[in-house]
Amino acid sequence: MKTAGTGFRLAAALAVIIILITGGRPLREHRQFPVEIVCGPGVTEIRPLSHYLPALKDTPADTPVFILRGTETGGAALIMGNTHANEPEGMLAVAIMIENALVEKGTLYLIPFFNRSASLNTRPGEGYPLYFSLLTPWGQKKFRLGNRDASPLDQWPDPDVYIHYPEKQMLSYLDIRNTNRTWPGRRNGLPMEQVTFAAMELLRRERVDMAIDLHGAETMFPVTNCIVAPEKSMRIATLASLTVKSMEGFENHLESSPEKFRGLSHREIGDYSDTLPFLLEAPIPFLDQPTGAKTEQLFLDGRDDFLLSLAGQKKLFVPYDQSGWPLDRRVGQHLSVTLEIIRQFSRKTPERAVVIRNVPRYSEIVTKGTGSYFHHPASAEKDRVVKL
Amino acid sequence: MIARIIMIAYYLMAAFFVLITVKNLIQEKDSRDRVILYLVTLIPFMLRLLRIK
Repeated sequence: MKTAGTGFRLAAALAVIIILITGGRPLREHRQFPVEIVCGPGVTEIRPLSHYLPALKDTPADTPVFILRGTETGGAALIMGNTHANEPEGMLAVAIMIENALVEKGTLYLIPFFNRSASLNTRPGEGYPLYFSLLTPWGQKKFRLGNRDASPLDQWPDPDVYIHYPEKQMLSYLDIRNTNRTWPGRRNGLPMEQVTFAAMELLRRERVDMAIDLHGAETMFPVTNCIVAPEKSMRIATLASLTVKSMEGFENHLESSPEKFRGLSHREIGDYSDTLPFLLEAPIPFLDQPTGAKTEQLFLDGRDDFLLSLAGQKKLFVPYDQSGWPLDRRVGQHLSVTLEIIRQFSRKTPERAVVIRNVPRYSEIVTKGTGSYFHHPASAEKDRVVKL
Repeated sequence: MIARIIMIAYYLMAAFFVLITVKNLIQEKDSRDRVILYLVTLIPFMLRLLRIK
């Protein structure tokens, strides 16, 4: 056997250092990459979520809440994106609202990066790209692609079994880092429980009427392309679903929020506050298991030959053809259904109405592209650009 | 609070394993296989200590 002389040890150590740098550097850069959002004229205040729970202050779990107050008093709505940061359609829809919406009546609370720690997390083991870019009128705009759960760098260790608070249901250990399993949260809990607790405090203190949580799901998963709502929200959800189908020509079926599956926003927000919760799912072919390589292109256009073959065998829960499920359709659906839920609620409860304008709907997003609604951060006033 | 203590303890453990692995690496004169083993073992602890992954 050859001995391990100084030369060999140095050469081997150098090789490992090179591996560490080349492998670790992109992950570190991803964690520090800022996504820039330009505050539109409708944004009247930005407040950290820690305003509602100071324990979150100066932690990676804290996240900005953009407030758009109308000139006329009315109701309030909270819209959340990136609860799961590998489903960024919701974040894009919320960001478009921040950059463009004007509120005439009531107040909008917008959280584009609800699980901010998850947006700093990556999924290299499944070959997920670290970023995706959108074409805008002024060039490419780059976004981090995150993971479903908060980063273990920010919340660790996981328990063997996650026991939900306060319902005591036993859930998967991973879900303690999933902000759609930790509702209604707890003040002294782990960081993700504190995030949802702070959001519950926001809903209660600001008397928010509607909470809309924007998600995406696999085409092979039955709860996709839908609005999930509990009993108390079902009437508004039904009207919104029927209206977008008849007026805008896309399906968005209804799913009932299960009473015995705990920790989900559409269940706990309704049970632990007066707010009406809704969870929107857009189909994301990128998330399906039997696809080709998980490329940025697949994320953007949702086109995949394996899924096309499965669609022919009726294995998918959404219509699927050569055109795939492009990002623009997914973002457009989220915006239209969100606006329709708010409009239906406002019609039913005029004294608590929220009236919004200047937000594009499905057909406009599909025609012009998601990127065309983002403003150039370099052309905006510095104090109106938020780095997330 | 307990989770935070465990997390801090884990960083201390990671630092401890890095130190003793590097010490073994420096002292290893006989086996090239063991040198490679020590170096590969170092990677996850280094990634955690540097807060990369």
